[in-house]
Formats: sequence, C-alpha cells, structure tokens
Amino acid sequence: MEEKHATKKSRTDHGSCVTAAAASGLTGRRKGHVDVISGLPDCLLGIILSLLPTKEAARTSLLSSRWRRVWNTSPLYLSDDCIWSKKIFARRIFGRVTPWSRDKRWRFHTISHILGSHRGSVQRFSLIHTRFLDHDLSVAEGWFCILAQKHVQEIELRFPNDYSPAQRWIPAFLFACESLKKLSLHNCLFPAEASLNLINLLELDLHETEVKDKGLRKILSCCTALQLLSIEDRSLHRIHLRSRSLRVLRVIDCFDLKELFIEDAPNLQRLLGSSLARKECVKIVSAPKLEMLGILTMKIRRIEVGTSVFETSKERTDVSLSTLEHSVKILSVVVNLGAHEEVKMLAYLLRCFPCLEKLHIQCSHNIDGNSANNGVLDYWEQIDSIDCVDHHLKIVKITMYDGLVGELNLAKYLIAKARVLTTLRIECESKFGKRWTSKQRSLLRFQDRASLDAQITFVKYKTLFWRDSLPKFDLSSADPFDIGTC
Amino acid sequence: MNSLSLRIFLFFFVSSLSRVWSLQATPRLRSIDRSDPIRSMASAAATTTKKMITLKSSDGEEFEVEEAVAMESQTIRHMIEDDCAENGIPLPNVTSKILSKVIEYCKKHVDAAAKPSDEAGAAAAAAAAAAAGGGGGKASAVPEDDLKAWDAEFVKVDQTTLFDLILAANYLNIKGLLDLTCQTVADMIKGKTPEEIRKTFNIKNDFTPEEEEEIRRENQWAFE
Repeated sequence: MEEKHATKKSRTDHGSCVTAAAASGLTGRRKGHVDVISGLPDCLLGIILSLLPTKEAARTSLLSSRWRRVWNTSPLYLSDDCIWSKKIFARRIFGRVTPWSRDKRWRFHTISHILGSHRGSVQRFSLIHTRFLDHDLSVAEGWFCILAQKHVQEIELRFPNDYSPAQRWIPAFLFACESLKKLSLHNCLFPAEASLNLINLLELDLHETEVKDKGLRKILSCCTALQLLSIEDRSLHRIHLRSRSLRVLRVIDCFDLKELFIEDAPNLQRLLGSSLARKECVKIVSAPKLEMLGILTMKIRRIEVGTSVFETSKERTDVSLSTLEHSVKILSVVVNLGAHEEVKMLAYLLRCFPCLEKLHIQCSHNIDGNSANNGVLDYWEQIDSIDCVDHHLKIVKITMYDGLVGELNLAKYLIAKARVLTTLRIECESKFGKRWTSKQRSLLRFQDRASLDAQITFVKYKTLFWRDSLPKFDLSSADPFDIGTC
Repeated sequence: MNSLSLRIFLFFFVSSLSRVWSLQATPRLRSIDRSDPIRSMASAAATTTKKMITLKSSDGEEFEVEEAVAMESQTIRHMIEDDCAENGIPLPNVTSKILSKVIEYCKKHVDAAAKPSDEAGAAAAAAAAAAAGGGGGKASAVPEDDLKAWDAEFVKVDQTTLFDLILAANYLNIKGLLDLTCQTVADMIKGKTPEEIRKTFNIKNDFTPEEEEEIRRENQWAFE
C-alpha cells in the first residue's frame, strides 16, 4: 500500500516537472548561437546545480535574469567543503599571520547567511570543516531549527576528535526530523534522552557517538524504514538486532563489543565488518536472506549460525554442523593458512555455506615467521569434498599471497576440486615478478584443473590505507569486498 | 478388461494429468499479453520470443523496440502497466532524432545489465592483470569501465542535442540518462567564472551594472 503511494507521489512529482518543461517552450529555435540552457525548466536546472559545488552553484545567479533566482529556490545542497574565502586563504599562503579562527568564523557566518537567505528546501547539509566555538552553540541550534523546517533529507556532521564533550553536543530535535533520509554523525554526542521520530530514515552512519546499547536499541525500534546501518563505537557492549527493514549492517572497530546478536532480520542481506568474531561472539539466529558475510577472522572466538556453532579454544575446536545457510553467496575471511586450527575452521565454515559463489581470502602470516605446522601440509588433500567448492564456487580472490606451503596447498586444492571456477585472482604482496609467478603457476598444476574455464591471474597487491580497505557500505555494489581493484 | 491393461491405462491417464498440472504451475511471464493466458503459457514455455513495443515520435516516425528496452523509461513502464500500450505509444515531446538516440542508450544499458556479474568480474580481472602476465583474457562481458567509456562518447554531441536529451530523459523518466546528461552539463559549468559560463552557453547578460553589483553583494561569499 505504501509502495503504491510512493510510486504515485513520484509520478506526480515527475509529472509537474514534465509539464513545466513543456510549458517552457523550446520551440522555434534556430541553429547557431542560441541560449538553449536557459530554456530548461527550473527543476532541471536545479538538478544540474545540485551537481556543482555550493559556491559555484550560487555564482550562477549572476549569469542572467533568468538564472537570478534559480539557485535560491532550488533544493539546497550545502557542503562546507567548498565554502572558503579566497582572500583569507591567500593571506595564509603569503605568510601573513592570520589566525585559523578567522577562517572558521568566516565560514560560520557564511553558513548562517545561506541558511537564512535561501528560499528553497534543503536537500543536503554537510559540515566537515566548520567548528562551533563555545559561544556559538545557540546559533548552531538555530541552524538545525531551520533545517528541520525546510525538510532536510541528508545531514552529515563531522566533528574533530579533540572536541570536549560540551562541544560535541547536537540538538535533540534533530532526531525528530521526519524528513531525514540519510544521517551521518562522526564524533557527535548522541543525546540519550532524545525522542526519535526518524521514520523515513534509510541510512545511518554512527562513528564514535557514544550511542550505547540502549540508544542503539531505541534507534532500531524507532527507525522502521532503516536499510543501512554502520556503527563504529567504543561504547557498545552488545548489539541486539531486531529489524524488519535492515538490509546492510556494518560493524567496525567496536572494541568493547562482547556480542553481536542477529535475532530477527528477515531482510538482512549484508553483514560486514573489519574483523568479525575476533573479540565478540557473533550469533545469527534468523537472517534468511543473508548473502554477503565478512570479513571474518579465523581466530574465531565464537560464531553461531543457526544451530551450527564454531568455537576455537586452546584445547580443541568445537564445531557442530546442523544447519546450513543456503543464502550466503559471498564470504570474506582473514586466515593464517599455516596454522592448523585456522585452516580447519575455514574448511568447517565453507561446509556451512553450500551455495557460496565468491570467496575472498586474506592471508595473514605468523609474526615469528614459523613455517606451517605439520598438520597443514596435507590437510587439503585429505579432507572430504566440500559442497560449495564442488558445485558453486566461481570466483576466488587470495590477497597477501606469499607462496608459503599452506597458501600453495589451498590454491592447489581449489584448482583441483572447484568444477565451476572461472577466476582465481592472486594478489602478491612481497614477492612478485615474472619468474616467481611462472614458478607458482607450475607448482599450482594448472593443467590438472577441474574447471576448464578457470583462469589464474597474478597481480601486485596494492597496500591501502586501512579505512579504504573496509567493506563498501552501500546497496548498489555487487560485491562489497571488491576494494581497490579495477 | 484385465487388470494389467487397466493399470497401463491408469498410468498413462495419471501421467497426462500431471503434465497438465505442471503446465498450469509455470509462472506467467510479465511481458506476455495478459488477455490470452493459454497462448502466453505456451509461448513462455516454448521460446524467448520478445514482445515488441512501438514508439511514435512527434514527427510521425515509428520505432519498434523490445519491451525490456522500452521499460527503461518509467513513463513507458507505467503506460504498459496501465494497459495503454496496445496500439503503440505516442511521444509528442520527442523528435525522431532524439528518440533514436534514447533508444540506443537504453538498448546498450539493457544489454550491459544482462551480462552476469561474475563474467564481468573475470573479464575485468583479466584485463587488469594483462600487463602482469595474467592468464589469457576472455573477451566476452561488458566491464563497468567499458560502459562508462561508451557513455562518455554518447554525450559528445552539440549543445542542442544534449539539452534535448535532458528534456527527453526527464519526460520519459530515465534516471541513468538524466544523471549522465546533467553531469555532463555540470562538468561544462564547473571551474568557470560567470563570464566564461555565459560564453560557453551563449547566455546574454541582461543585467545593468547596478543589478550586478547588488547580486554580488547579496551572495558576497560566493564571489570572494
């Protein structure tokens, strides 16, 4: 019912823009030096201006009388990224001492001015560089008031790490803003007593907001349309997910997290993180549509998937496989292929996902440089067949490959057993060269491959800044773990 | 009749019944004409005959396109869903020249989306590793970069055509084309002073010097 209403609404919005376009009349033109762009209706010019930096979009008011009011009445995309003054900037470059605060103050007043004078709605409001000095908090509160009145759809606030708690304050009625669809808060202080009314919120990104378990529970229950959630917060101890709408959950660097419990998430498609299950227990009770899972570390503390339990303790590896997750298609793991325990865990995990199609393996190496312990040497040759490897696995990507025994054995196993494999992409970190790669190729016995369509490619591994190597946080990318590649 | 022949008769009777049941259980394809279920089921089970839609431009020319290609346009999709597409779809706001370009765009993007993603990944990986001595490339799918390059070539047209494409993409509600064309125009505006923008687009400056001064004062921050 709601979907129908949404479709109807988008149809009427589109319809009004189309009639405006028809009415603007681009008839009777002749070729040559004709001003075609001014003939477009305001809504289309607004779309074009939204793709420009705020400063340049505002400058179009000087073009001609037709353009004078366009920016002022189109939906506003305000990002302080592009609000800087040439005069002040130039002074700083040419050695004259101008306090940094002067630039900040200028930016602060400019934003106030824009919010006050702009006539249209606000689509996006992004503050990355602007800092509120202590006595300007009341003005800042006024900004959020105006934003709420103007039905803002996206807000991004990034405060610096060194702010005091008082400076990290954000007004509580920000969370009562019904029109918000996308909210990103970095280093802001989540107001615990705020009454949440973000019923249209689709995407939420919380980074060090001290949201705490209770706050997160509140968010999950109030934001009934929430589809994407990314959390990076040291205050969380337990994440208990019950959400009918959530499709992507990303949990990064929650150092105090003890438990990640997916209790009821019927639409969850992607469960992402930087090293899941290293410190926390991951428990997935009901996530029937889960397709992408990672990055799991094989030094697992404890993972429960349905009724299957994976747990490595010092004495033994506890695994009982009683349910299989058929929906998972893409898996990303970090594993030390020289450690017997971790290799066993990887094999068990692969058995748990029989329909796996794409596998990302990041090889981690022993710090003391020990070669693989004996249990690993022929492990892959001796195990029983694994369902996903035999029937479904199409693409495998191994990064940080060094040609060590454990890594070589796994690659040999995959080539020999994977019947529908199309690509084996190996990214090498330290050793890379024509002779070494051809030697690896011969060692891998490519000619005995199980899948005739298979190809191996060796690529030099590109070291990325760790934050760039996090899984992609969106719904549109086909594989969130494909980072830094073509 | 003895029991053996009765059993044989029953066997054939039951197997023919199950064949009829499985035919009814075949899900009906959306693209087939709804008014004739039996023919639609038969053709759905048989071959992939695609339904064609006729689009009529403002200057009377008719274009026959596959339904999947036509459905890239949300406007046309709604017309088909509302069953208004039986005798062709008139598009009075779009000339034949622009309509042929729009159809070219839609066709390319429908074809690109139809390729499976893992093939695209394999082709892309092979292409990227070609210099590093990777194993032979498979020249099959359309990787993302190729499509972007095609898009970039597609919008290398004169301004009149570009703005007509924007209007057509808006009227036909084709998000990808609208985004592409608007981004192209935005790139033409970026980094230019107002005077340079006027020159690029032949915009006539109809302000008096006093009015210009007033506008600069109003938004002084933008002109600093």
